[in-house]
Amino acid sequence: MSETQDSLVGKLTTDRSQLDWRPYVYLLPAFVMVAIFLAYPLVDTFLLSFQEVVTLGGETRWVGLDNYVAVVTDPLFWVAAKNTLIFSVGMIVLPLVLGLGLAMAINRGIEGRSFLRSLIFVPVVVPIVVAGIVFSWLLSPNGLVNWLLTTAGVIEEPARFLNSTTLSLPSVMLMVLWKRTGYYMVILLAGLQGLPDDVYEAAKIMGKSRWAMFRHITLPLLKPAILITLVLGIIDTVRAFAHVYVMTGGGPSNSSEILSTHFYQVAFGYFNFGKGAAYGFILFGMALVFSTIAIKLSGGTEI
Amino acid sequence: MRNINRRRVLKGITTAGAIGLAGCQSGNSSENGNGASSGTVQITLRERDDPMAAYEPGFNEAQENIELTASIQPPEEKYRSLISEINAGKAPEVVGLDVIYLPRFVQLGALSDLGSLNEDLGHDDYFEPLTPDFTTWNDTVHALPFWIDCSVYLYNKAHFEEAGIDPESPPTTFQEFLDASRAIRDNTDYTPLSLNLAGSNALGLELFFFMPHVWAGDGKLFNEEMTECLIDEQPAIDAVNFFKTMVEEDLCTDPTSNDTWTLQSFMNQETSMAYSAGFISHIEEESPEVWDNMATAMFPKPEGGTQSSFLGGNSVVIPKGITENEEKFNAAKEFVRWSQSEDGMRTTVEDIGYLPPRQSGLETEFVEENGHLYDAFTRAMEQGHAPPMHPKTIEMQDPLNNALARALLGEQEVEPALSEAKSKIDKILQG
Repeated sequence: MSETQDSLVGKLTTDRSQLDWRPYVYLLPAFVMVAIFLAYPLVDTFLLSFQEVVTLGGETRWVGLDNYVAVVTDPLFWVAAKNTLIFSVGMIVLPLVLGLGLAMAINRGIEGRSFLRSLIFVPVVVPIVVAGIVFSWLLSPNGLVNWLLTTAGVIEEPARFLNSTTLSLPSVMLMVLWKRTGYYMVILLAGLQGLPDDVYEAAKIMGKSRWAMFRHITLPLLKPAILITLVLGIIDTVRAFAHVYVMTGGGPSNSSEILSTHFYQVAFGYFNFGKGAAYGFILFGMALVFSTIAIKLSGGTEI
Repeated sequence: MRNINRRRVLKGITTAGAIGLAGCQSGNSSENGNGASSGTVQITLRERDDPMAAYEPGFNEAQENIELTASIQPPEEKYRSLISEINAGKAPEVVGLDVIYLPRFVQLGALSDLGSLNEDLGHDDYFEPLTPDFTTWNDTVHALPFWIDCSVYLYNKAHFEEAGIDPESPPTTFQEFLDASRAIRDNTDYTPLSLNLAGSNALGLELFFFMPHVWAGDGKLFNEEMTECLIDEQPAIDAVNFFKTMVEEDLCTDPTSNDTWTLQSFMNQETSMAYSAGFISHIEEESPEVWDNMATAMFPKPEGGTQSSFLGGNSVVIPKGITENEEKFNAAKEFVRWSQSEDGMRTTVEDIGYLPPRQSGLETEFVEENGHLYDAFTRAMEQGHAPPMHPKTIEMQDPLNNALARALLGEQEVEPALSEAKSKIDKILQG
């Protein structure tokens, strides 16, 4: 061993013996909490996804990938997957576009913007169950929406918004749009307020149009904020549950069934714990994959 | 200074630990370490609706050494938490288990054997459809009937008179029911019938309200071996067509609505009839005028059929882990014994408003005084059907509910809708 190597080993040994353990001790309670409440259930559920519960609190049987196969060969899984894809338009695309438009309008300094910002943000703080119930009332056959539409002569008979195989999912999406637009608007507004003025001034001097400035300056610089909304939207879409459960229960005839409501039914309605665990991990994987794709497609910008 | 602080910290930790350990003890200071007590044994009953809390004073008044606490949780939360509690060996000592869940819980090995208790009790006047369906699985008694719910229809006699229908002769066949409904629609301002049987939030009502019309025509959900679904056969087609006519002629509220509480419109006198469960005693307080004019009748039947009803409700069970603590197990059995007694059944009928499991439970002064309401229930208990007892019955409700919704919304013809339901249920049965 050369002299240089000897001194390096000696240094490392000395450094290790002088290692300051205090930061690790301070982190220990948090680490223990994460291990107990996050890691353990996650690992336990993952193992459960390869088992069949034979008796409660007792016997389980290893079934390999059977639970995963059962989930993906269930026709209702694909119905729910298609509905979730449609639902994501209401969870992500529409509120993102609307939120961006509102954020830009408010950022431009329109009259009463503080009031408007608060007003648009109010739905975000309304609990999802309350919002679902209120929209159920509004959209019921005797509700305000039907009254307005019949009074205005748009429709002759009250529409069955929530128990129609064609209207139930769009009705839930309407509530989601109302609820999420303010959330996205606040994130995007924060992003817009952080954009440098000098870039826009330079563009103006160069005679660029508003559309060109939006396309070539605002959008690229706003990419981190848009990416945050996109990733949060994807995760929330996969996790979305109460939105549909409260308003339509996934019906009628599974027309508004989304993956999370179907997952709930499999795991806690039918007590198929192994299949439910597999379903949960499939949803987890989907959220992970779609979020990663979104980040990659946006050029790998750090959030 | 530093030493003093350390001492204080140690004192604080010791005190906090002592308080924490004290908190871990039972609220009943008389209990010893294994949950038993020198005087009183505490047990918990898990049930699903607030009125069932009446079992607590009812049972406790009759006991000296056992104290029951009623733990009420709405159905979905109840079964979710029950599964976790049984899994963790921390289940309540006694549970009112919806009969539809019984086979699945038995299959999961979650329930104690109550065979010897059943023999000890030796009651021989249970309503016939309840035994063995509500009690036995694989030749083992895992439950006893607790409180019974059955489906009938309520009608407002004053509305009937207004529509020119004899209130003492309520309609008994599909055709008579349609005619009476048309008379109400044409001669009064009321909607004839409050109905929900295929709302997506109303899973279970397709069995509770729809199946009696199939049974009335001698139809069945499954064959005897439970290997094939028979819901695409003529009795079911006739039953759906009956409801479809009701919908198409505006003779009922929307039966696919997500609003499951259809009784409200009957109590508000917006409707003249309502498909209902056996829990009706609350109407006396909430709508006294309706209560005074109200009568009950069994569901209509096809020509030549036999009127039927769905017998549901809860069985009383003791989760498996409870047997390990003999004192608690004996106390739990004492509650089961009481629930089958005249006193327990009186609580079920008079204090809670459901129906008793044994015929003697309906032979009381209270029932006699309200005979015009209980006659139909008594007949329903005798002529009704218990639900199909299969571990996957819960799973099979969904295809049937969906088929009814599509047929009643006019989005699919009746026969293909039922045929699709049959095919899906067959797959579940064979899965």
